[in-house]
Amino acid sequence: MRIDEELRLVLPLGDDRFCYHTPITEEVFRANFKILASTRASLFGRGLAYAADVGPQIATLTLVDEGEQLARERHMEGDHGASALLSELKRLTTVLVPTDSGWKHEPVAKSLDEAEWREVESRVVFFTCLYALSERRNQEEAAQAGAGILGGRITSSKSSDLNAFLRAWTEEPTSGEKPTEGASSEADSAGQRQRALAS
Amino acid sequence: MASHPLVTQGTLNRLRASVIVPGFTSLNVSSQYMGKNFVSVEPEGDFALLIETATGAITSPEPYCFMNVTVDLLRTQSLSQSWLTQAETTAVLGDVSIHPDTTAFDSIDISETIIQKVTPGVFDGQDPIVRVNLRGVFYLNNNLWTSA
Repeated sequence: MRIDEELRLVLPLGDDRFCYHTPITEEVFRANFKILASTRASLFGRGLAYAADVGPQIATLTLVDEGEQLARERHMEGDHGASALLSELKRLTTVLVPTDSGWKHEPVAKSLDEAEWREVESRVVFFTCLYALSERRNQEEAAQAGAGILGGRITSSKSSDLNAFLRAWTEEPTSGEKPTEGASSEADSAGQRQRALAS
Repeated sequence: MASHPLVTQGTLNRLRASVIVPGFTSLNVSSQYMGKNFVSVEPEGDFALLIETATGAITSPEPYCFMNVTVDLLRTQSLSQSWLTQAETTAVLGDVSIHPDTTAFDSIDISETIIQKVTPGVFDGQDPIVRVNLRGVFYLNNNLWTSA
């Protein structure tokens, strides 16, 4: 499976800032597939509604829990690489902060406090479980579904086009309009999301 | 007796040091991926010239200078390979921001950045460093444009 490095997850933070996440590479996926698969199974084991409802809030806790369980099964200490994977997800996430010349990428450590990052981190873990473990032909659909659940969007915009993408997003009407390309509107129904997840 | 004019000197947090590459975010580097020297930034050339005349000097601000950035990556992590692979594909990165080890000092933003070289290092089992040298343009003296 080839993880498409062109797709990016953009999550609004509630103010003018956004989180910008680059999916993990194939090498990182190969090193962590077991813990990701266990986490996904745990999140989705109780059905799609449960996963979509509470999954984004408990994904990091589930990842660490599954990691510790995998380590215990092998009579080893630690968390089976969960902490290392979380570090990698943090490295691959930046915060887009508005400036006079457009949005600027800032490191998470500079722009978010611990509580804010924990919330974003969990959403990113949820997205990674959904996206990285999908079949290649379904990956884009899975990414869109995951972004929809998280209230975010998927973009393939290069850095130079990102300002236009974010400007269009922040300026568009919040309801009653057709969502733009690559977007899942807030009005998406739970049923639509579940169908996308199931595909 | 006057009181000591103590000003809190602050604390450096080397774990804050990071490199952000907006055009290729998979190359972002945080402290967990760096060697002991972390990242260093050094300007190349002067920010302004002071040209001697018969009776004094003429000032001549530079509109830019080159900025050299050195990042020590760990060969034991695949990120160092990603940088080498990036150089094999294209060594032109565009904008790069280097975030320092304190919040009191703003990030250093350089443009038109290139990967000057990636040095894999000595494979003797004792040196884990892959050195990445970046070179980019640091814009200076912006007032030149308003008074041009």
